Amino acid sequence: MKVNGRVLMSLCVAVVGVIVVIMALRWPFKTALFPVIIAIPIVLMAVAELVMGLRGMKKSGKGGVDFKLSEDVDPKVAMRRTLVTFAWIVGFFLLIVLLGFPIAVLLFLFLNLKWQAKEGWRLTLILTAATSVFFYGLFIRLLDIHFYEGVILRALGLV
Amino acid sequence: MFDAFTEGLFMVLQWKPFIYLLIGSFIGFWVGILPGLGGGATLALMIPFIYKMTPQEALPFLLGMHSVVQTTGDITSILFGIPGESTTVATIVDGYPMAKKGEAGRALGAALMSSLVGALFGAGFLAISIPIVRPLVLAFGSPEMLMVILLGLTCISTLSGHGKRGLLLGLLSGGLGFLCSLVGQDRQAGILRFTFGQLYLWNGLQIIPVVVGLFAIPEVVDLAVRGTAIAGNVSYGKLGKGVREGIRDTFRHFWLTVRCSAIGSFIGILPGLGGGVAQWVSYAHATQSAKTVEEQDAFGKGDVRGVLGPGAANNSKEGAGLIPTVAFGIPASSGMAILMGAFFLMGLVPGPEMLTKHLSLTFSMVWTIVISNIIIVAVSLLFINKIANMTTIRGAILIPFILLLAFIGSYTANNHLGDLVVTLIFGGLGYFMVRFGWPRPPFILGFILGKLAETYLYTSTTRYGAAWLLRPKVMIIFCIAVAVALYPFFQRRRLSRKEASHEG
Repeated sequence: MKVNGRVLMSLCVAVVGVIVVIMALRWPFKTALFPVIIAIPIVLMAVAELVMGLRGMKKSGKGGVDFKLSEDVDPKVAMRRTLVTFAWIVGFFLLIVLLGFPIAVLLFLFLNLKWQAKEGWRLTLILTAATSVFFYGLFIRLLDIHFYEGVILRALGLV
Repeated sequence: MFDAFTEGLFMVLQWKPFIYLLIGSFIGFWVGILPGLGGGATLALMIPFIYKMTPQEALPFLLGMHSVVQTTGDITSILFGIPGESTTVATIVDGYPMAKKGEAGRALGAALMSSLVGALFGAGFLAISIPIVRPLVLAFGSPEMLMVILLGLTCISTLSGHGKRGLLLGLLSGGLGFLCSLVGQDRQAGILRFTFGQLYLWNGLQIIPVVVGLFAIPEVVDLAVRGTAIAGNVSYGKLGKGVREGIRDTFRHFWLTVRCSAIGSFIGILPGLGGGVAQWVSYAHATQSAKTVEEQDAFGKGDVRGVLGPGAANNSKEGAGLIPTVAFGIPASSGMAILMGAFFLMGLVPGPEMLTKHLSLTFSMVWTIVISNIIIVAVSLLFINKIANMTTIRGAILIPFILLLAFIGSYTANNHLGDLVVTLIFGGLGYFMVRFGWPRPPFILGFILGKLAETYLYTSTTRYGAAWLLRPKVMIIFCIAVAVALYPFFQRRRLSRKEASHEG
């Protein structure tokens, strides 16, 4: 018996399928028809995949046509870089929530280029300034997109 | 008829319509390149500008913009692994690995040239097929459309890995996409499903944040893990050299390009399906052109045929999509629905009048598609070296810009923070799917078509009960779906046997 990420993923999908069926039971026929018709085969297929995974059956052939993660990097380094990248992505999101889009864009670019990409001051400042001007000119002035202002600016009454 | 055809050409070549065509194409060029800025949405933004234009000026402006968006959307998909448009996702599957191998120029050359072939095919299809297509479109009811969706999903599921387990994962992934499309208020009874008390989810999940999260985030993470440029360690200046090779590839696999254009055109005329399906079905068809097991395994790792197929289909469906819109007033896609709105603004009523009284105007649309695509492909080819060399920029510098584009692209779907949350969630899901070998293409197709499939299923069941399953066309399409599902097994067995006999 072999429990790995793929098995856990099948388990999660099977659970989601079961939840959909249970929730659908409370809905009228016309609302529940499609979810039930889709969720039941999903549960069955996920269980089949789960069993195959637990038995340690490998995917036959060389896999499907989709992007593959690089395998030529030391797994420990790869894991560390993956976590750091996800942290930057989540950090960017939090910056947007707190400070709003325009300021977050400027700060994220500057911080990422300076500390993550380890670029020099000159290139960092030029790229940050140019992107900010492009962002402001195209999205705010020309396309008139209303960007989120951020919790802090709203709390301070600056917007 | 011929007079109207030439009159249509001269109509577009008059200086004012031609200037508007150039402006429209220029806007379309950038809309295609920037992720999240969709062709349909931009079309809607441009509608206010046509109030003072005549139909002869407004149509080249709008259609010139709309018809080149897919062409340049492929550029972003190939270079950065982010779909420039939701209809250029399939190009990523082989285009981005080509860029990673240092073949960005070749991939771009192939994508641009196949796009041009596709666009010309679609325009030709529009010009000649109106009388032929009419009975076909009208013969497809809800049950048949539902089966066409299932056929599309089966096509893409067969790409998900070889053997039974690969097909199982593909179908599971497609099913999961269907489930995600259920979020929001259902169309039949107005019941809220899986909204968890969030007003944002009432309208369901939007395609752009989902696609950007699912595709861009795993690619960004992988780029960071590799610590190199997208094109690995290939040096600056060597990438553009493959452009001619990419153009030659289009003609080397010319029949494949034409067949995929035909697939795109056929799907393009079916209302509601559009580029989301056309790109994947044509991709599936491209993989079936493999002659050996090794060739088949090369798909997804940078086979140029995986770029040619979707590239051609994306563009050919644009011309074909105009057929039901112009001839029957049935818009084939959301973009066409907006365009139809513009028709009414200009005082044009889609229907028989467009094929009689306004025939030369209808043909001017054909010429607009042809001319705008030729111009944009020529301009893109002119700057392709510079464009391709963007993949030699150090990954660490590119990552913040890719993330910025991804976040802005997602946010513009609803101008709501929820779009970013959806991107993050689907980014995580996409990463785990890639890590554990779950294919993402069937998920996207299931997600795009879920709502439509539900509507067709409900309409079929309420109108015909279970009897719709026995309709001849439904049974024929079902048999084709079964054959498509089984074909890879037979193909692989045949190829293995052939190789064994060669070795023996």
